[in-house]
Amino acid sequence: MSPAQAALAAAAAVTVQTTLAWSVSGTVVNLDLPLVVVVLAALSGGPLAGLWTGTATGLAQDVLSGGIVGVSGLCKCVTGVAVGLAGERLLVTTTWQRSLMAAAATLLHAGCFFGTYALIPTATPIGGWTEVAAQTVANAVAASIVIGAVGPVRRWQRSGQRQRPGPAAEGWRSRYAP
Amino acid sequence: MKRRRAGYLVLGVLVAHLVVISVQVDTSPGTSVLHAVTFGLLSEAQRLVSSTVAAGRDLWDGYVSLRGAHEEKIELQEQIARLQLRLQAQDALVQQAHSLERLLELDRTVELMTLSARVIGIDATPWFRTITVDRGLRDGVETELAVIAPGGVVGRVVGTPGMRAARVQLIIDRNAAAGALVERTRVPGVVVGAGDGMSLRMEYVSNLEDVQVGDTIVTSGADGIYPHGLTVGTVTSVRRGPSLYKTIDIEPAMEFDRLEHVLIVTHDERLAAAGDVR
Repeated sequence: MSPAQAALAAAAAVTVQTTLAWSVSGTVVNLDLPLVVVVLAALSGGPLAGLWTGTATGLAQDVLSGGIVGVSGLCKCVTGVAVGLAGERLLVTTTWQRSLMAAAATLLHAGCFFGTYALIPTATPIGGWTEVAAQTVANAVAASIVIGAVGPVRRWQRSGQRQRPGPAAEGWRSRYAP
Repeated sequence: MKRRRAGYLVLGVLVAHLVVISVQVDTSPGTSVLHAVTFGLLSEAQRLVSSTVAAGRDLWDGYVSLRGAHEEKIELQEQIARLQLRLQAQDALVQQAHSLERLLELDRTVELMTLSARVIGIDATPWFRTITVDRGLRDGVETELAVIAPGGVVGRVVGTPGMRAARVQLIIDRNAAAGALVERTRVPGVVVGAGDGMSLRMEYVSNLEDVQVGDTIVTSGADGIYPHGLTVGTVTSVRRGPSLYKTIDIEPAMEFDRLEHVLIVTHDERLAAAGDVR
């Protein structure tokens, strides 16, 4: 995943989360689609992809939410780096493995998020572990749906790259890998 | 070498986040310029998507799902006729009330100046309850203005508004509060978000006061944000608290799930007369 693709995916996830999901369902959906995008970006591009996607997505979420600016950014950046590092060391290739990673990332993100807010007296988020558990399941399902939707696009993209190879087609990993 | 550079980068980004967070905790919430500019840009994306969805819905409602429109039109015409008759009766009552007010030299009912706004987005996380509306600085929207709807209280404008958008903290948010009173007995208290993101709780009402299930809660105007007398919700349960105060659960009057249009109170004559500067 290239930086431009990651930025586009992050922007799309935040927009869908704040407008479309609500327009369609008419209620607040307990789903963190931007986090799913961060996880998938980190798995495909490594820790630095996770860092930047997490930071950009989290800050965008902070600006469009009632919380303190920087908290989601911090938590998503930590989660992105952690998922990226785990993705480098573990075999995470199939859809269910990635969904499992999304679930684990949700728990890590929630721990970081609520932990940070526990230190800040000026704002308190809604919900508790029941909502976190529900979001863990929802994010895992969303991850499998996103992977299912993105799969054909990536296959089409790869077939295009085979015909037209070049440095621009290389992603985060080739740029930042040690 | 590259890995070390990456490590420094991660550390730098984490420190930057912590600095941004601590600046807001130490001073007033919100980072003025950066926040306002980013919010302005992101709210334009929200406006675009929201308008597209609304246009699609209008297209569907206006052209595709027109079956039964003729019957509905006849029914509505009959309803308009009935309402016109009721309106005439109400007008007569208003005139009568004004005459009595003049007779008794009472203060006339004060009207609120409001600005209608469309909801273009909701909170980007499920952990807070805010919405984005399509009115901003350009329309005269300022922070801390009350936001209402025909059903009752919606919330207040928070943060620095963008040029064409503003963020509204719903009254059901955990961090929201409003001065309120029980309509029947005029017992004052403070209404806050209950913490589940759906209901409200009334605090600081003494165990000795008379509050019953079914009582209507209205704003008191004591907070200087919400105008007096707006419906907040209905009491669903009252329990004697462990300390001095009752535990009162309230069901909000508004249905926040399907909120599409709201009214921003730009001027309340009573607050202005009382010298309240917002």
